[in-house]
Amino acid sequence: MKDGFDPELFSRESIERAARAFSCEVERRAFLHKAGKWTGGLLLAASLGSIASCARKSSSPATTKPAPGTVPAAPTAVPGQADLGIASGQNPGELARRAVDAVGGMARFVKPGNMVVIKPNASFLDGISGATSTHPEVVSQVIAMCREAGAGRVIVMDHCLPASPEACFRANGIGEAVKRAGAEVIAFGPCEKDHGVDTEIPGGVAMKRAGIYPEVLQADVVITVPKAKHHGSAGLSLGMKNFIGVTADMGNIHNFDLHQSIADLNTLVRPTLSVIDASIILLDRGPGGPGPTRAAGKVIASPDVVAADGYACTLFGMKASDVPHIVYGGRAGLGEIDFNKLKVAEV
Amino acid sequence: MRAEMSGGKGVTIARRVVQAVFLLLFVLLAFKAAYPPLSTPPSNIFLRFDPLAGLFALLAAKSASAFARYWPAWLLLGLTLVSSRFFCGWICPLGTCFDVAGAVKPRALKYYRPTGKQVRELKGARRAGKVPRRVRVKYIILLLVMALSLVGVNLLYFFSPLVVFNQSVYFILLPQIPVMLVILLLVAFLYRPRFWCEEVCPLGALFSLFSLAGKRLGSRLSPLSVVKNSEACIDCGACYRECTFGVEEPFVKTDSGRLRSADCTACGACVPACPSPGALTLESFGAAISRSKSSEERPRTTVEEPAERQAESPPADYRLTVTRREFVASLGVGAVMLAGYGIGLRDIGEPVLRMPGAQDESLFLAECNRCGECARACPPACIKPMGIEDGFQKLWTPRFCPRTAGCIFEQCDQACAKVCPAGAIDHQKPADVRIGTAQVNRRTCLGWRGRPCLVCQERCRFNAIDADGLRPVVLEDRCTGCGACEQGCPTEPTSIRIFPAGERAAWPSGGGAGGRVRGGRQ
Repeated sequence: MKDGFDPELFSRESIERAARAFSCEVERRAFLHKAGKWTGGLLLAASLGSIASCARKSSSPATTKPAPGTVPAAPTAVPGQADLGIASGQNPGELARRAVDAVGGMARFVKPGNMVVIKPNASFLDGISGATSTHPEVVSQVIAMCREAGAGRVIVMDHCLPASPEACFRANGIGEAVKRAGAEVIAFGPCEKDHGVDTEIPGGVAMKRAGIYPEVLQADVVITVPKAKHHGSAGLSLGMKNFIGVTADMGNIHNFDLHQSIADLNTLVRPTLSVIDASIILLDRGPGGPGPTRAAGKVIASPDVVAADGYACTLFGMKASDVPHIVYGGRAGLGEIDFNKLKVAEV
Repeated sequence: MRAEMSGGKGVTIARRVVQAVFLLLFVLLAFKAAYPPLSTPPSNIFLRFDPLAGLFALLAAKSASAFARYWPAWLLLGLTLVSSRFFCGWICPLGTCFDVAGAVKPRALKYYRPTGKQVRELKGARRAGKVPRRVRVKYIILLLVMALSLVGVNLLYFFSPLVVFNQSVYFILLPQIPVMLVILLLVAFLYRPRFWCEEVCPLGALFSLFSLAGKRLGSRLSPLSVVKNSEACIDCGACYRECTFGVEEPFVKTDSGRLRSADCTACGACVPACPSPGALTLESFGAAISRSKSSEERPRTTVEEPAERQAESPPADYRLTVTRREFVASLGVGAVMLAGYGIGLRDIGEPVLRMPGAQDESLFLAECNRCGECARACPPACIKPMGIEDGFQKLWTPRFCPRTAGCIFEQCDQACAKVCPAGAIDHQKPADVRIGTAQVNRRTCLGWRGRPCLVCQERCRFNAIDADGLRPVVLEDRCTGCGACEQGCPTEPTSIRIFPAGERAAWPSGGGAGGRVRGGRQ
């Protein structure tokens, strides 16, 4: 990337998008917004006036704040059904399918017509070997399984850091995989904070409010599809930590106790399913790399995000108790910290 | 303006259309500097039509590339030789704004038109053939501005209409008040629409000089010129009254032929104003475009013929009439100003973060016109104009503000360098870019206070931040100074900041694992 200008990757549209994603130029935006609001307000007032003269009709203003109750709860355990699927092998896409099938298949989580939000790690520009982004095959398989289960709208969301979302999704191959599997991408840059909806976190201990992308709150099913990788500040970046990427102001979360905030965030955005891509794992210098990697050859699936994260820790030679946010998650009742208590299916 | 309402307004309408088209083109191109900057035609082409800026670039850079870059300006100067200041009357966007200001001015404010008495007096004084003293000021300003360029002081943002206009478009979009434009429009509105053009504008002075140099060339060579037929002239003074530039020549000229006044813009406003058929003609290569016609509704304010008005009176001489005394005085003033700049004002002060590839600070200050193109072109809008608080020398120069947005030079291919008309920004290889160096404030940094964060490391595209546990350490030999870390830092104020090369933070940043700051820009 540093060697030269890559016009292929950084297309015109991509940079135009980057302009929006990276420009935290508040004044200009605020001005345009204000101007837009004033104009809109005047037009609205005029049109309302004209409507009011014709018919008296009470209009309910659209609210941008979704009720916390719309957040889906994690599915309850099905008797006899494994709750932690660990698939080992070579082909990551096939592993994802086997792991999900081991916990009952996608039909257990996604009902026909459901709106599904898939949250991969797609923030960086490295390809598959860099192990900073979820393997594109895993993402496309998860989408395909959702489609087979009859899902309605399937959205892939993330928050991109080094370049525009278009460039990132292109470089790490996830954009192409999503397109092929038939889903849509909604992604943002670090300065696009407007998309987040300021939402209260009722179960929050350290972080009580956060700007969250509304699609995540509106979705019937949220699936976290992280890459298992090292993370400089959070220890490991797994299924729970992944949801920092659905907050509009990613920096702000670090002003609170990071680990507790991750657990707080997960009390609001509760994933229905966790599919952790551990085909190749980043052992150090995460989350952006480049760092040493290891081909772990595993994909983990579980409706219990804490247990899945807890198992993924073992791939790094760690225990769940070494990563505070997983511990806090278990304490908050988000899942079982000791994955051995679950019915494990290794396939 | 009155002429437009009476007959024979073809030329005036044509000129208004041309002015409007060029104004729109200019605004359009100023818009099109936004990423991705227009390449054909280049978005900065109008700015390169500015011979004053061209001379500046030549004096500052002393290179052939500066000469080549400003080819449209040299072309324009060549045209000026044969067509006098047609640029000012037909093309200059600032001039068009002045004309608009004059047109909207209420009648009560219009006092710039000479009265009948003044016209009569002028007729009497005609023999002296002198250009009024007031229009000479601009030559002195030109001299001063050029002299200051020699010591690296760029004042084009005050004096070049094209730069002022381009900068104003940028300021309006910011949004910020375009100070110069507002002042100039106020002057135009309250005093005289073309006051600036006639008496102050050093670019106009340069054009005037060239039009003087070419005054012997006949109208056949000229794409646009006003030709007088003194046989038909009835000495009414209507042409002089109509001229927004206050050019007396069509009135006082005693012989026939092309107008040779340095300040004539060939706008042709005098032609429809003339009540005598065929006395004035707007010509292009000897062919008449518009000829003055008799008109009933036009006032025929014939001036009484002074007794001494004779055909044998010598033709008025429109040489550049700066007297020796004025010339020496202006040199004196210039010397004092040069000394002033040399002593105090040339101190370039503290280093400032500029865009990648910006010249060394002193050369940058000399070359940068403050036109605002680079800031328009920057995709994340991380370039902003500096204010007066940073010193007069740096006023409105572009500053890189990493807290607003990081520089994405390897992604946008340095759009700022591409649009700069003045050559103040070099295009660099991404591997060579060193805007500055990041330094961590260990007192406020979350990581150094034992809390997990490392957003800076996450944001860094160049792997220039190492994590020592939770504590970020900048690897200075890798840091390009792109500022992604500074933008992302969650603390307020930021705990990681980009400093210009060679600058050290006053805060405890320490050397860490990194080496020295890599030396200045290559």
